[in-house]
Amino acid sequence: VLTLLLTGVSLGAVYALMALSLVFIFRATRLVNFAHGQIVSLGVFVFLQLALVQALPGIVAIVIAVVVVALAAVGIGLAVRRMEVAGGELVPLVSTFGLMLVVSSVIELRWGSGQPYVIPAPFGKDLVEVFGSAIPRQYLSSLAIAVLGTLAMALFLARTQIGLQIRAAADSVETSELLGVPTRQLRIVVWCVGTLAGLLAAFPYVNMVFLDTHALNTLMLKGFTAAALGGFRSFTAALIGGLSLGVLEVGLSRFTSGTIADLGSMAAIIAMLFIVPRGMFALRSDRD
Amino acid sequence: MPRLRGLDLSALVAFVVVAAAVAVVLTVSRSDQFVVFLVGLFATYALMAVGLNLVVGGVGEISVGHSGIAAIGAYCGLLTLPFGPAVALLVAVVAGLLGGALMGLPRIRVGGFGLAAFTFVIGQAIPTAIGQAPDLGGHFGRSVPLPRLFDAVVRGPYLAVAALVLLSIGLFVAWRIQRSMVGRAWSAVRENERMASALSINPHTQRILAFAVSGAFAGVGGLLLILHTQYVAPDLFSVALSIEMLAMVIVGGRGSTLGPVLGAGFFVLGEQFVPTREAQTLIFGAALALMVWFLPDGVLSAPSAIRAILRNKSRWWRRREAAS
Repeated sequence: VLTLLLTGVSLGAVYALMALSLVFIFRATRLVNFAHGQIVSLGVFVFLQLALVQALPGIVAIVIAVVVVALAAVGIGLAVRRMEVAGGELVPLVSTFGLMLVVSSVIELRWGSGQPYVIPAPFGKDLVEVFGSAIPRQYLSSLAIAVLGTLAMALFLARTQIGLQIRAAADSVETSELLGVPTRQLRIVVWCVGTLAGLLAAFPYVNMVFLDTHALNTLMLKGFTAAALGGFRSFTAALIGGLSLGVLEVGLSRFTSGTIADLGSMAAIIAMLFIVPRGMFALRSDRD
Repeated sequence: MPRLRGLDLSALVAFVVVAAAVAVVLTVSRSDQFVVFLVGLFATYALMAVGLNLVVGGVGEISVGHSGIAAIGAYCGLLTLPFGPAVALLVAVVAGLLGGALMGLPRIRVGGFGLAAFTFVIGQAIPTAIGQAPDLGGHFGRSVPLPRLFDAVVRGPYLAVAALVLLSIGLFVAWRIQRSMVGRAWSAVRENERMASALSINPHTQRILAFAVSGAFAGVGGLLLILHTQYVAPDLFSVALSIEMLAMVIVGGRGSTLGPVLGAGFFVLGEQFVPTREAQTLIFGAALALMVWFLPDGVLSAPSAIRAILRNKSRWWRRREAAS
């Protein structure tokens, strides 16, 4: 049981980090990027290409992948700003769907054959004993990465000057502009940080499962479901949503096939949405 | 947005006349099988796009779950096909209605993106769930028999004609709805939800209604699609289909009833010039992203957009600079 719980929590922590990255971007920019998973996926495939095919050292490959994803995020951020000026909030939303198709077909064209790929785990994949139960090592490292990533994001938001400004801008753009917060530049920072947080969730995920052209789409769906639990607003709800998704999924997979466990866990979270339509932990300011 | 509506009735009549002519030609002459197939496919996509437009252009929500509804319609129709095509059609309509209502059900209205995230998740969950049912062909799909009507097999040309007829009916229904009180209620919800509530229009109910009607279109479209391809697999109804439907609506113009038909026409023609499926989705995705940015009212608004740019060129540039 402990093994199941630990695997569930590790998987859930990664989902939670993914959900956090989505909530983070949404709260600051009021936009859900439906191409998030594909952009992140692109980063992972760039890493795969450089590290495994070109045999570059892992660190270099990771740095290049991070730069690629960051550039893509900045590009999206800039384009979104232009679009909002041109035609309101529906326009960037619809274009993220277009972008999603574009990036996913680029990935499919370039890396579509020869999948699924196996990404080597940096800390090995052997079993380790924790409190008397065996658990694959990559799950533990994933848990560590996800927890560290979440903490880093929380610290970034709570303790740094930029984090404070982002929170201020998320609450009221007008007021923070009056107080001299450079909201436009901040949005670019948000796009960058949020998308990179997604990338940080993606690496442990492909370590735990495998990498094919759809793997990260599944991860993003999980992130969406978890984020939806808090109405895309609440970080707490996204965390809880992600963790419970992971635990439910692993728990269910003991009794049925993996895909049904997948669907079942998502159905459970969505059922919650019907019970609490505004999302759990709805912010007081949201209630009108 | 309602710029093109005055043209709609005459355009609608013209479309039905052309469709009837095409139908006669298809059945009387021995046309190329491939052309017949394309016409049928076009009518099928157009039907789904017209349905999606009831949501996008009607109540102003974005749905990327319509491929899931189409999958429900297709599989339910497939299961009842042995009882005759009429029964299957009816079942597809009802299944689509229910599936659509389900999509519109949640009251989540956070920020501007409304139900899009919900439809995104559900729309992908449905084909995955169907893939888990071995009786339905599982993940790899199964072949679809040609329907039989009065002991005769319904072949290619008749299938295409059926699709054209259904498209005409669908267009008529959509056109009538847009002009009824219901359609006006939807416009009110789209333009200003609070104002609609003040006029005792319940936005939630109207949204469910729009999704349900739109779902019926998608359900029938899904059934027609698998009858044309004579093959069904969950992958046929991936999120790419939803986004392509959205692209048809946006490219053709969400303001008018006939716009999505135009979009579907571009789509089916475009497919013939691009060899691989991946390249197709790439181009359609790019088309969607750019069109919604530069021509949010569809290709028919291109002349007026260009005129506006020429007239206000200096102002247009100044605005862009002010934005940056």
